[in-house]
Amino acid sequence: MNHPATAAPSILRRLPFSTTALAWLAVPCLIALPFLGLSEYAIGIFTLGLFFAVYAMGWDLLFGYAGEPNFGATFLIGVGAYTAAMLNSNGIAPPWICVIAGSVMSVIAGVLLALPALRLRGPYFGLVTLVAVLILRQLIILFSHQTGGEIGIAVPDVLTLSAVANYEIALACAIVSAIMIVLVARSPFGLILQAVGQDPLNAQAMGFSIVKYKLAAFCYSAFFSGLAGALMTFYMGTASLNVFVDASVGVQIIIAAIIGGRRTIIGPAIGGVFLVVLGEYMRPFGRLSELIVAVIALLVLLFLPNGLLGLLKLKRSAR
Amino acid sequence: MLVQLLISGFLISAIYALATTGFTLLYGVSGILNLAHGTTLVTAGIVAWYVAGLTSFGPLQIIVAGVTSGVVVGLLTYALIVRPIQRLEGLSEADEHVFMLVGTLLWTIILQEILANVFGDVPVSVPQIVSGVVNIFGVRTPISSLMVAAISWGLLGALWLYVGFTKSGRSLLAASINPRGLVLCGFNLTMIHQVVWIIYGLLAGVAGVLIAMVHGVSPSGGLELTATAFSIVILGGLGSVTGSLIAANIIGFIETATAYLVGPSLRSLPSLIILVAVLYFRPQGLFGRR
Repeated sequence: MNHPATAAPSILRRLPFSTTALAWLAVPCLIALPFLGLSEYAIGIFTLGLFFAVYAMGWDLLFGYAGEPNFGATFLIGVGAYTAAMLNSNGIAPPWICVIAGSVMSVIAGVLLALPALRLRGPYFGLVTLVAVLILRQLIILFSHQTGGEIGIAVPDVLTLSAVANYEIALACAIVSAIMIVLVARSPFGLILQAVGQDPLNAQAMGFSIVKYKLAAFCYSAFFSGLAGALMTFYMGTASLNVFVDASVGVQIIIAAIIGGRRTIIGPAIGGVFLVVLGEYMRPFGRLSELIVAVIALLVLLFLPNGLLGLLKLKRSAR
Repeated sequence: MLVQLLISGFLISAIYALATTGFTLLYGVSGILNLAHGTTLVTAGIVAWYVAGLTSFGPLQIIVAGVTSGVVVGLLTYALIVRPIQRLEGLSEADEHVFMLVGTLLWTIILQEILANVFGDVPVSVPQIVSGVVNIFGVRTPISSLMVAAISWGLLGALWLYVGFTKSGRSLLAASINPRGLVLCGFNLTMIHQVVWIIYGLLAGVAGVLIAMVHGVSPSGGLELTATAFSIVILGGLGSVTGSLIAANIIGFIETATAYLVGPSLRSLPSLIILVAVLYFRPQGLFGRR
């Protein structure tokens, strides 16, 4: 075991830390972040990053635990965002009611998305989710009088005008989502979900209902995706196709989860913030920025397939 | 009106059939869904357009340039994305599927951005092979469109002869049915996969040039082409070449009919709905085997 490569970060290995403890340590730092003299612009970037973190965590629950490769995360997010935006822009409901309605509609969308997952496996299901996003896009363009079509739909109300308050709302959303998803992932429910995802036949033979567990996982994941989507709509002031209902945004969510480390929940959250900040940092490169981010993501995929937290886990298991 | 619809449906179906066959073949033999398919087509089309604009090259050189770039992109996809992912250790089967899809999607973005930066992000089209129109039952049809259809079906016929009647073609068929048995018979599976990628590049190259000729292509239009290819392949059954030929015609005619009768902006909606219906009720497609 005294291999030079594993011996190097000896402090790292001796610390009795767990990712959970680290995550709890990070919470006060995150709450204090906007008071450290960051510009409002930088706070705004972190706000978006936190919403992205929630999307990535929701994706990880579906893929890492239920084993469903969801390429249509933006289907769930988009339904939440557009429900909130349409209710608010027509003056039907105040912001907070819209956010709740968005989350609920997103759960319904989750059930719709779960139905094919019960019949199809692996790549087939991945394709259906991709197609779901394309269809939602077409529908939104088709009913452009109500939805704003390709231009998007503006929401008249805001939750708050202060950048710091918006940041704290996003942070609260991210922390609550993280706690709820981690709790579920580590509960007996999460274990059974893993069993159902990895070996459905045996799980069924042991008497677990695949239908029940997968449906529950989709609803749970959809609820938080929709919640974050609706909140982000009010933060951005508009719901538009290219932000909320876009296949490539769905792929970015997957990349965030892989960079952070699949099957860790907290990892994808870190990956989400990282990816948004990286994208912003590369903005001065103009069109080249997308290329650079794609190349970096590809390199991580090929050379660090277990992601950031996967690396830590590997070190600990080498002890 | 009906004749017009039939003729344009036939033309578009011929291109769809050609553009999808390579994609199906690739999945059938090596089990890979190449999400960079549309961008491979676009690359071939754009390179052909660039060569056509350089000097007074003949149509043959233009097509050769496009096809070469198709093959190069195909081999690069294999060497830079597919092979490294297959070699990763500790991935479950589900992980590998997701990695392959994400990897080829990232490759799409990379190719797309390179094309946009080198050639500009504008729609381009390759000049027609021959000029002139003929009158078929009262519908004026460009001769070059008929040529495009003829090239498509001719190439598909050649592929059919190759797979059915040559030793190397039959080994491809065998690889899609029972790869382990093929290895036991002393065939080199890696080499077969490389051959498949070359054939894929050839088919995608020709299809890309033809699409650029009939419709025009743009760097950002790759994913849309991939989506159409998907609809066709899933309707026909993943990995079934016959199925995808029939499905290409069904989708081609339905899209044309929608564009003529309802409106061009909705042309892709019916095929998406068919796609979802097929996936719900007959996931293996019309001719797929599972």
